[in-house]
Amino acid sequence: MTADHGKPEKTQLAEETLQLEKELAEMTTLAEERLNQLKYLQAEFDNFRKWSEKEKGSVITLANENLIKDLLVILDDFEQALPSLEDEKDREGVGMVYQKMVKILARYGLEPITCMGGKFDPQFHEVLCRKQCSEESDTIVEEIGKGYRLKSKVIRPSKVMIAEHASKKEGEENG
Amino acid sequence: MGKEKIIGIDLGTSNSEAAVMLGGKPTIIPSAEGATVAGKMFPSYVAFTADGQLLVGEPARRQMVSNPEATITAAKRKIGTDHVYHIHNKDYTPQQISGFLLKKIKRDAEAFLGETVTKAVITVPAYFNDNQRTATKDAGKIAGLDVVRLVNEPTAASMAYGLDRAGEYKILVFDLGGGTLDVTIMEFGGGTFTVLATSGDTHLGGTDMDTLVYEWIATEFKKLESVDIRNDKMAVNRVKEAAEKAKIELSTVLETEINLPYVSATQEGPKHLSLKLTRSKLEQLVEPTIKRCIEPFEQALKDAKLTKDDIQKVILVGGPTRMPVVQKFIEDHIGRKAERGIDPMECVSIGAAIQGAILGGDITDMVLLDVTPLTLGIETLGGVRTSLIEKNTTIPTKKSQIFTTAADVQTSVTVHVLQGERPMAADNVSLGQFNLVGIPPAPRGIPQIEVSFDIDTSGILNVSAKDLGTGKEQKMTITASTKLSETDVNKMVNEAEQFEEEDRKRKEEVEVTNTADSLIYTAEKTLSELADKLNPELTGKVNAAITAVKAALEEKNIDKIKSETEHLQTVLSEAGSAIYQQSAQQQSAQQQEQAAGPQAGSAGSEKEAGGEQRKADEDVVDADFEVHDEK
Repeated sequence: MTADHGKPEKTQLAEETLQLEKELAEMTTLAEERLNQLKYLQAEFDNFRKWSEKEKGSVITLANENLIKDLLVILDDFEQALPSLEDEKDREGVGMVYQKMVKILARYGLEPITCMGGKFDPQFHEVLCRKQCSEESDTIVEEIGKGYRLKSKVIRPSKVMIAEHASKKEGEENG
Repeated sequence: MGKEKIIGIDLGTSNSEAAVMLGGKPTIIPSAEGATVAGKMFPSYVAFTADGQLLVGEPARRQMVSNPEATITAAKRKIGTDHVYHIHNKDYTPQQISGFLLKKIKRDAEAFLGETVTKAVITVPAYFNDNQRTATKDAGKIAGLDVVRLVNEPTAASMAYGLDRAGEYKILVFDLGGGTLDVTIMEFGGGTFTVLATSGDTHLGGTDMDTLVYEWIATEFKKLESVDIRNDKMAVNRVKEAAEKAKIELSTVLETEINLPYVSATQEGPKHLSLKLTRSKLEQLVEPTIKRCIEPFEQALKDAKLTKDDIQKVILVGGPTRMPVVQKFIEDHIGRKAERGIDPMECVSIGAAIQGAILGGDITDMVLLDVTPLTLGIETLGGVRTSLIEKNTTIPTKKSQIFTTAADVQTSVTVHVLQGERPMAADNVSLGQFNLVGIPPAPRGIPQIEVSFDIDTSGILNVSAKDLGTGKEQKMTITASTKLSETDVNKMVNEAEQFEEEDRKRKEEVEVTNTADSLIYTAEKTLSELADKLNPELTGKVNAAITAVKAALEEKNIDKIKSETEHLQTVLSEAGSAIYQQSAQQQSAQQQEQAAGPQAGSAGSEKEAGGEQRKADEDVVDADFEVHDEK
C-alpha cells in the first residue's frame, strides 16, 4: 500500500518544490527589479535636489531680470526726452533723474552695450539696416535702439545700422 | 548614478525648443542666449559669417539683415529634399543645417543638466513623409544625438495633456505658430494615435498680426500728429517693440496703453505717442489673419470625413493661440472648449520629453505618485485642528509629532483623526478616533505622546500614538483617506476659503483661552511651591490677577481674557524678579521654576505652526488632548 501511494506523493512533492522554486525565482527577480528602480529613483531625487539648488542660485542672480527688462523702456523715454527739452534747468533736472535711475540699475548689474564706431557683433547687436558709406564694412554707424547687459547676460541687444563698404566687401570675399 | 536622460525636441520651422523630465516634471531647457519676448524658444536660424564663424539661434537672427545670403531660416521646409545651400563656396544639406540647431540644443541641455546628453525624441509635422523623417533622424545623428523616436507634433501636444493614457476619442490639434498654421485631426484608441487628416497654411501666423498692429499705430499717429513715423528708424523700432508687447498683454487684460513719449520731433517740438488699444480693437485688427484659418480648418474636417460634432478633444498649440480671439474662433467653430492648463508654446516639447521619459523607463506604472487632496490632522485642546500632513503632500509619506496631556494625572488620551482645511476640528471630516490608555499619572505637560501619520502608496493612512515613557502604543488604519471625490475636495477647499476669517477668529479665541488657562496653572503652581519665598503683598497681587483672568474666562470676553492674561504675566515676572533678588542658593532652585512660566505660555501659541514636524524634548506641544474618562 505504501508503495502504491508513495510514488504519487513524491511526484506531488517534487512538483510543489518546483513550483515554489519558480515562484521564488520570480519573486527574487521582482525584488531585484524593484530595488533597482528604487535606486534609480533615489539617484533621480538626489540629482533633482542638486539641480534645484543650482537653479535657486540662478534665480537669485537673475531675480530682477524681468523687472529691469520692463524698466528699459523708461530709460529709452528719458534718452528721447533729454535732447528735446529746451529749458536748460529742465534738461539738467531731468538729466539728474535719469542718471540716478541709471546708477541704481547699474548697482543691480545693468550696463549699456557700447556699439557706436565698433564692429558689429551678433552676440550683442542686431542689424536693422545697412548704409553704403566710406566706413569699413560691418562698422556700426548708427545706434537705433540701445542694448543692455545684466550681469554679462544680454537682455536686449543693441539695434544698429552698419556700414556697407562695397569695394571692401568684394575684397574680403576674394581673400 | 542615474539613467541617461532622453530629451524632447520641438524642432520648428521658425522657432525651436527642448524639454526634459526633471524630478517627474517636464521642464523647458533654457536657451543659452536667453529667452525671446514670447517665451523660451529660440529662432531656428543658422548663419555663417564672412570670417568663418557659425552662428545658431538668436545671434544668427540678429545679423540676418547684414548677411542674408549666408543666413538660413526655415530649413525644415527643405528637409528630405535634395536642396543644397551654397554658402561661402561650401555646400550644406538641410539635414546639416538642422543638425547645427540640434547641436546647439544638445549643448544647452548638457549645460542645464550638468551631464552628457546623447539621446533625444524629436517631433515632426504629421504630414512628413518617409524622406523627411529619415532626414530629420540624420540631422540628429549629425548633431551627435541618437534619435530614439520621432513623434508627430500633434501627438506630442496630446501627450502633454495626458490624452495618451486612456479612452478613445477624435482630437483636433490647431497649431498656429509664428509663421505657419497646421491643422491635424487624429484618432486615439487602443494606445495609439492615428492621423486622419492634416491641413494648413505655410504662410500664416503671429508675425502677420504684429504687422497689422504696427500698421494701425503708425496710421493713427499720422492722423493725430500728421507725422509719419515710418520714415524714422528709431521710432519704427520702438513702435514695433511696443506693438508686440501690447498684443501679448491684451491676452490677459482688456485694455492697454501704448505710451512712447518723444517718439518723434518736428519744428513745433517733440511729439508723444499715446494710444489706447482695447482687446476688441485688436481683435478687429487681426480679423483678416483669423479669417484665413477657416479654410484649412474646414478642409481638415472634410478630408477626415468628419463633422465638428465628431471631435471630442481640441488642443491649441503655438503662441498666437494664447489670444482669446483665436481660442474663441476655434471653440465657436467646433462647439467645444479647448483643453487648457499647458502653455501652448511649450506643449509640443513637453510631450516629446514625456515620450522620452517613457522610452527611457523613467515613467513606469509601478509608482504613480499621488497627493493627499486634503490636510490630515488631529483634534487638540479646545477643539482645535492640528495638522500633521498638509494638503498636496506627495505620498507615500510619514509625519510624527509629539503631544502631551492637558490635565494633571490624565491617564488616557483620545486621538481624533481629521481631514479638511478648517482650523476648528468640528468643521472637518472625522475619519475615526481611538484612545491610548495607561499613561502613568503625571502633571500636565509632562507625558510625551508621539502621534504618527503614515500614508502608503495606495492612500491608506496608518495612525499610531505611542507613549514614549512606557512604550505603550495604539494604532488604527483608515482606508479612505484619499478616496474623496473631486467635487467633495473642491467643496471642502472652497468652504475653507469662505470661512477663513470666521475660523481664524474662533481659533484665536481658543488659543487665547488656552494660553490663559495654562498661565493660571503655572501661576498657581508657582504660588503653592514658592509661597514661603514670596512676600504677602506680591502673593496677593498674583492671586488677584489669577482671579481676574478666571473671571474673564467665565465671561468669555476675549479682549478681557487677553488683557488680564497679559497683566497676570507682568505680575508673575514681577514676582519672579523679587525671588531672584534673594539668596544665591535659592536662586538656582527658583530658576527652574521660572523657566516653566514662559515655556507654557509660548507653547500655547505654538499651535499655530501646527503641521511642522518637531523634535522631541524641548518642543513639546502643550496640553493637546481632551481628557478622556476611562470606562
